[in-house]
Amino acid sequence: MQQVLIQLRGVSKTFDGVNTVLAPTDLSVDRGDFISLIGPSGCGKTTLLKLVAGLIKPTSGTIDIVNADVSSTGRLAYVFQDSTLLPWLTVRDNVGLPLRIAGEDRAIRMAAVDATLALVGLSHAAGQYPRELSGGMKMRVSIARALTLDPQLLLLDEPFGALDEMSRDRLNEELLRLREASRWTAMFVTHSVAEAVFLSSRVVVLAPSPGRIATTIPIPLTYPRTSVTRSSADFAELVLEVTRALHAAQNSSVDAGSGDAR
Amino acid sequence: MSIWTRIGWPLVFGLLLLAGWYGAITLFEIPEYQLPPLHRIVQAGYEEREMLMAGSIQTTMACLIGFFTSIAGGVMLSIMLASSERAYRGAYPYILLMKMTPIIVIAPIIIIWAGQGLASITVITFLICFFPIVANTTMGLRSTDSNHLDLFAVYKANRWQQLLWLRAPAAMPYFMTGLKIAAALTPIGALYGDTVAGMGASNEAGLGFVVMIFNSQFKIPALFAAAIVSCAIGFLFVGMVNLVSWLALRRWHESYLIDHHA
Repeated sequence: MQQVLIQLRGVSKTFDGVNTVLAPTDLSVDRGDFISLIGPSGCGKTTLLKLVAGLIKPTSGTIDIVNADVSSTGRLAYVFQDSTLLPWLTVRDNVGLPLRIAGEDRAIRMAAVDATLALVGLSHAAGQYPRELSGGMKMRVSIARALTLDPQLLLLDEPFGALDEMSRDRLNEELLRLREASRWTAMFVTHSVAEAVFLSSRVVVLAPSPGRIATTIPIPLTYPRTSVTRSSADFAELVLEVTRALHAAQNSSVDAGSGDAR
Repeated sequence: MSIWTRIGWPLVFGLLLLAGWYGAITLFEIPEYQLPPLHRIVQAGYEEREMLMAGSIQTTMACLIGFFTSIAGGVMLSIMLASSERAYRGAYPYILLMKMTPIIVIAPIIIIWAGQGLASITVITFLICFFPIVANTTMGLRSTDSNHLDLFAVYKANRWQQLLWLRAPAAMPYFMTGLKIAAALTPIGALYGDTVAGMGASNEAGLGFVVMIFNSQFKIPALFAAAIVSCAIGFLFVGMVNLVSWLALRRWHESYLIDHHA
């Protein structure tokens, strides 16, 4: 019933011929999935995301993005660790940048940008420059920029890592609310177990040295999820389960002699 | 900063300097050929106004042509150098080599090629402005934030979009630094050019040549007047660049944001 969107087969990445950051990895992501990638530093989370985005080429293996639409311009969007807004552009022009690159004309661009800004509640900040915004607002602009192209696949690399917990929780809820509207598929890198459980339909736990998938934990909590979800017993149990898996993964590095990466 | 510290203090310092100047002349009985008083300089400047005016026009012309051609040439070369690693690695050592060669050594060669007069003077001015512009602009174009480059890659920007909308604006502060250095050097180039390639014919003598004439005629107050006039030309260029820099960067660059944070 579920339609596969991304299929990774034996994908690995070795830098400079010696430094293997990702051992051969299989992963399939269904359309509408919200996948979180969690794991200790150096387990290849960001590498995995950049491989899917096509920013780096795999050393071996294949990455298929099933719907041809996604690989063509605009159907894939990326949210970076820091907001990566261009400081010389206003919020409006930053959000409109992907459309400008895609060659959309000004009128269409402005209409789409205004709609997206309204969606994330930033209409009042349209004329401001990034330096005038708080960290949380910058991140919202960054997400708005990713959403202007109406993407099918959204790749997010620890977007809220630098924010305080309150802002992070609020933005998590907002992210899910935005997803209700258009149901994009998401791959989300994070260090926070609670964030991963709250957002995801599946949490992929990675292990280090070399980076590889240790285990995948489905999160059967129903959407829409709200702040109430966080106080449920099921939520607490899932957080515990992922935390245990994470600790197990951390101690299972190949260097420590616990067997094959596959 | 109050008006008082901005304008009042420099004014007070100027008056003190002037008092010291006249005080020293009367106290130590300094003869006019060593240090003329200000009113004698102004008077000499008025008496020699025709020569000074013609010289200023000639020198300003050499400055303008040299400065603007060096901007055009410098920016084009920088773009070529920054366009590929090979171009940069291959060509930059030779550009450095050229930069290291003192202009005094190159000047006679230029005169052999371009003859006495404005052409050679302009080329010397060009050369003196050229390197700070190339060095700074190239550095700016090469130090684009890698996350920003990834952002443009995700949205499949072509090379021109990347250059116009990312590399160029990101390099702007570096370019402006290069311009400021070049602007201050411009009159030095033109005046030096005058002393080696200048022509004495009535309307072709630049300020540098006028200085040589005054010197040979032992017109010391007029020499001081010429110094003040060349200073003014220098101020004109530096002021022009500061204005352009302010216009280009004031909205977003850190260097102009001190007042906003208060």
